[in-house]
Amino acid sequence: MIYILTALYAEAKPLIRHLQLKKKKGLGPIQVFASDTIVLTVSGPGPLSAAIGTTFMLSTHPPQPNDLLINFGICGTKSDRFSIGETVIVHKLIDAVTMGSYYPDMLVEHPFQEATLQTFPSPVDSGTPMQAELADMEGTGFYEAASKFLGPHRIVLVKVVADRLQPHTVNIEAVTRLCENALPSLETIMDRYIATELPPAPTLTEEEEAQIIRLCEQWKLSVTLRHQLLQAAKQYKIRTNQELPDLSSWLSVPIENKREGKKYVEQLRQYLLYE
Amino acid sequence: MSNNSDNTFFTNKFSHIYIEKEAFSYPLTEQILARFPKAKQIEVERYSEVFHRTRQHFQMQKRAMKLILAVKQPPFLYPGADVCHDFGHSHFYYTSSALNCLYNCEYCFLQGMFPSAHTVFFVNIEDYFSAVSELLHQHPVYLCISYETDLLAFEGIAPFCRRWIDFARHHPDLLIELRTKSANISRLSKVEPAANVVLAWTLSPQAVIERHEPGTPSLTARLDAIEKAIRAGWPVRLCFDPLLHIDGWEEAYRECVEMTFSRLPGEAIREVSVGSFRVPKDYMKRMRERRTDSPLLHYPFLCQDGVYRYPDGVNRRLTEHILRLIQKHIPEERIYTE
Repeated sequence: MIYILTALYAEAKPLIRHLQLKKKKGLGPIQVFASDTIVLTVSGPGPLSAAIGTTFMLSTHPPQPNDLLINFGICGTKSDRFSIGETVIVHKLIDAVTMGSYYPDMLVEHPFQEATLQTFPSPVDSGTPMQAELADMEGTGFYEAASKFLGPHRIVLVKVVADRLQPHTVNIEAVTRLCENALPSLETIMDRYIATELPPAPTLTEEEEAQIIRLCEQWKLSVTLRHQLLQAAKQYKIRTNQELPDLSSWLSVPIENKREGKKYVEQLRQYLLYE
Repeated sequence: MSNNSDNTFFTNKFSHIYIEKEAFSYPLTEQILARFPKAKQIEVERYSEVFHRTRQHFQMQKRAMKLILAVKQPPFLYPGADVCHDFGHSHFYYTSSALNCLYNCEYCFLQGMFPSAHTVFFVNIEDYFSAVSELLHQHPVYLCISYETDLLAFEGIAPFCRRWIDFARHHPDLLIELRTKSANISRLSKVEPAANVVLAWTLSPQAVIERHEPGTPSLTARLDAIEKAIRAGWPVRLCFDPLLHIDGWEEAYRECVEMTFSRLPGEAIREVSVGSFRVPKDYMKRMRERRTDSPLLHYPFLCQDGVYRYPDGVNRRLTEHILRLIQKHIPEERIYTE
């Protein structure tokens, strides 16, 4: 799954259209648009709104560790290194209020420029002192919330340079146009991050897990013993690269008390470990 | 810059270098940065902001490793761990001018120890030297400098080995062990051997190298390097450690030892250490989480006194087998086991 957070509907509009996202109803005050593979949330401007929007999106649609989370939107800059409309990837974020820093993991090769980004709680202009090359109002709020759910290698900030810190020069239509023009860049980034997904860990199938749980219930096992048995079953699969053997015959083992349960857990563990 | 030979888009190693503000002023920083003129430099307040982030993906980072240049705060030296050989030295310490390794051995304890696979270089090497000098006023010191890294493998990037060797040369009460799997001995070709710096090579059967030590030099390349080191006059130690209970282990270790001593004269080896696989319990938990596909790590090890090891019978068979082979070439008093 790919999760995208934008601050403004004007930033989200070209994505909603291009990716054919549908508005999800009944989720409350925050706008969420989705398809089978993408969830997009419009948080409203400001770092606090970005943190709330990110938390809301990931709480209502819990991510898997391999999923990708993107903050997409406009930014301003004083630097001539970037042209208006250029797509830039952020490799360091600085919060203008706390001066705390955050670092997405830059493991994926891409053809765009990279930069530092400073997040302010309110609009800034060219007279505002800056410690970074780019300025926005969402980055650190988004990142701090995002990092509670996903690792730094699956969090990406994709910024489109909109102005030279003269925010009044950019209207809603310009924001949408800039973001629309940046769509091919955004797609390149998504494709590359998806290509670097590592295969998921082998794990127990639902039936295999149910088989173990049935045994645990039958034998009235403690939480610790349950954990040990599940662990032994998982290790069996990793070591042998085979399905878990049929354990139904163990279900008929009569258990009189907890001590016996413990004894049979050990026997079953040995069976799974050394079989 | 892309590294997409396997249809992925990981960056090249060291495409980004994170540098502590304080580290910029050190000559070693300048030297290291000069090696990577195209790398993106990112300033950080403390290296831990990058190294200690939560939920980092160790194996993905191994494919696109970054450098972090930092200034180490005290302590600079640590007492040697119980699971490590002290080779009969009573004042056994280790130190780390670098964290993490260029290689990606499947069984490596570093993946259980560190939250990140990115490499940290501590550029304030002089502070380490001061700490050792101070300790040497109290007693002789046996110091392992390449436990949490492989310094010789990194020597082309950061000349830590050369600096430590030069330091040791002026401190006869200091005995240094430089542990490595690297064949990078040419990096020391212009360095005069020091009698109190032992170059210690980890040797494994070629089958283990191919399956479980990705990126490391072959056994032949390591033996070539050791031969050169002996010829140059370096004290050399061989470490058959960790012994792994792989399929066909008897034959694999027999070939490994025979090949080793067909190339290296036993009398030229200062000592040999032998140790079977062992990892502290806390590290193993994280190693298994990070290597969910590793049959090697998901072996049913036994936990004794907080350390995971092979069951006693397996341990004994492995160790006795290799000891028998080594004793044909090295007298018993120069072989160290746990």
